[in-house]
Amino acid sequence: MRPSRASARLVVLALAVAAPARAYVRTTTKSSNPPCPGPTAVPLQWRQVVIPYVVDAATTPDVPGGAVDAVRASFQTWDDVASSYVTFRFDGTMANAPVGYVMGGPNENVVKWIESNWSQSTRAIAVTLNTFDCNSGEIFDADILLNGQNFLFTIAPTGPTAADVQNTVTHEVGHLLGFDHAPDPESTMYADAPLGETKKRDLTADDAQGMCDVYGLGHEPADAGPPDAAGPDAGSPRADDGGCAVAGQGAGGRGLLLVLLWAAARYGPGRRATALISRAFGRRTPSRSRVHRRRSFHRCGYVWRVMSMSCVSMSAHSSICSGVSARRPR
Amino acid sequence: MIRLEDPMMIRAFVVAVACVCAAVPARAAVVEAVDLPTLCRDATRIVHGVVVGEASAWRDGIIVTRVTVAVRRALKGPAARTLVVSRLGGVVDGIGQVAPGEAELAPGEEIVLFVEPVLGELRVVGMAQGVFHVADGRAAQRLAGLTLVGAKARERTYTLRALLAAIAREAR
Repeated sequence: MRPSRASARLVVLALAVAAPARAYVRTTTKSSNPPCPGPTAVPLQWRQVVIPYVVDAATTPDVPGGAVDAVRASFQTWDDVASSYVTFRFDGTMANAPVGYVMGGPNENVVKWIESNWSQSTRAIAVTLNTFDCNSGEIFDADILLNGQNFLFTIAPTGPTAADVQNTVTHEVGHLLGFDHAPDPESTMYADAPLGETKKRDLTADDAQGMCDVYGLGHEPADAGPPDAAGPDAGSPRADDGGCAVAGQGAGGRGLLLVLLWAAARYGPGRRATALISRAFGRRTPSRSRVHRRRSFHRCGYVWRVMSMSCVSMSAHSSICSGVSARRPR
Repeated sequence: MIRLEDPMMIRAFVVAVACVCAAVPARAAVVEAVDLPTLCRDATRIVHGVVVGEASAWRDGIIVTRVTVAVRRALKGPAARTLVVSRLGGVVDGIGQVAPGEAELAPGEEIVLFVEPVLGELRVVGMAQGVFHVADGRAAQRLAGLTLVGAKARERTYTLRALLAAIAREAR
């Protein structure tokens, strides 16, 4: 077979199994309703290294002892992305924590359960409100409101009867950071979140890639303080592996997976396939992030062992949660 | 039979894989949502109309935008020539606020709108789920920015006539 025809077959095969896009999405200055004036959509972004937050002291009556630890774990999950400079600082609980933004005034980034007088749609389980500058896209303030009036919350879900605090807040912290919904059903930033779901507690490689691209080490704002200004509650230390080492799920994850599975099946164990590709390009295959390694080993088992060459979306192997969920009136 | 021993073929293989990554669209979200019967049940008022105005203002640190809709046809609830619905977020003096998933209501746009009373104001049922955007005789939801709880339905598109007929049946 002549190479050109073989190449054409491969391209046709690859396109035939192409899957929908898998990539993080950013909120912009055009995302508000009405949008900011001007022709350009500027992505929203914090211009500080340390982002402080408080939790309203009342938390939720649904969780004995409160849900502060679950909230902190949610922030910590984003904090743990090693290639990001952003650090969250827990400033404790606050009685009657104020929601919203006051120009020139003291502002807190608040996580708060609303147990009565919920002022948004009764079907909204959580709302994140970002305040930003229309010209620069700089985020000034962000609050996460949880609808305790119409929904039950839990820290140990046993079924589709209550919203998992860590699952919900981890997703909302993504919004707080300026990320919009991602099309990948496995992503923490995917739009659907059935009651009782817990998979959004952990980030996917694509979520981590977003952190790396937007808040990557070495790209700190010039006027921001050093990372060690975060204080003792700021989370784990940064890994000293600057730059975006995260190999995300990226686009066409499932298609990529299928093509590589075909190659692995056709040409034997992954080590051989890896060697072939290394030979073709004369260099080592991409590195992987800590986040992705952890998740891949959990989710992917043998696929990971067969294909050590790249970061591959696991969505083809993970069932999309179709859990039943309904609003649970209090 | 394709052979991958040849470095040229290996390059072709990797290029093919790259095609997968490059050929797909950047956005392709399809989101499960509350179904039409539930929207009709939750809403105290359903109208077919046109957005004719909006005004954003600060309210206790939060920007709230009040949207005025000229009603062409009241499908549920009292007949009135206009309806004012409030939504979270907006822009005031160069400061923006955004709540991902809030309903999009642009001036001049023809819509079918489902609203419910919340603390003395009208709010869109289920945030973005409660708006069907009408264009060229078709009515479609836009759910890309919405976090949904439940798996009752997906983003829906109807002909306007079919949607109005379905609402008439459900809201009866």
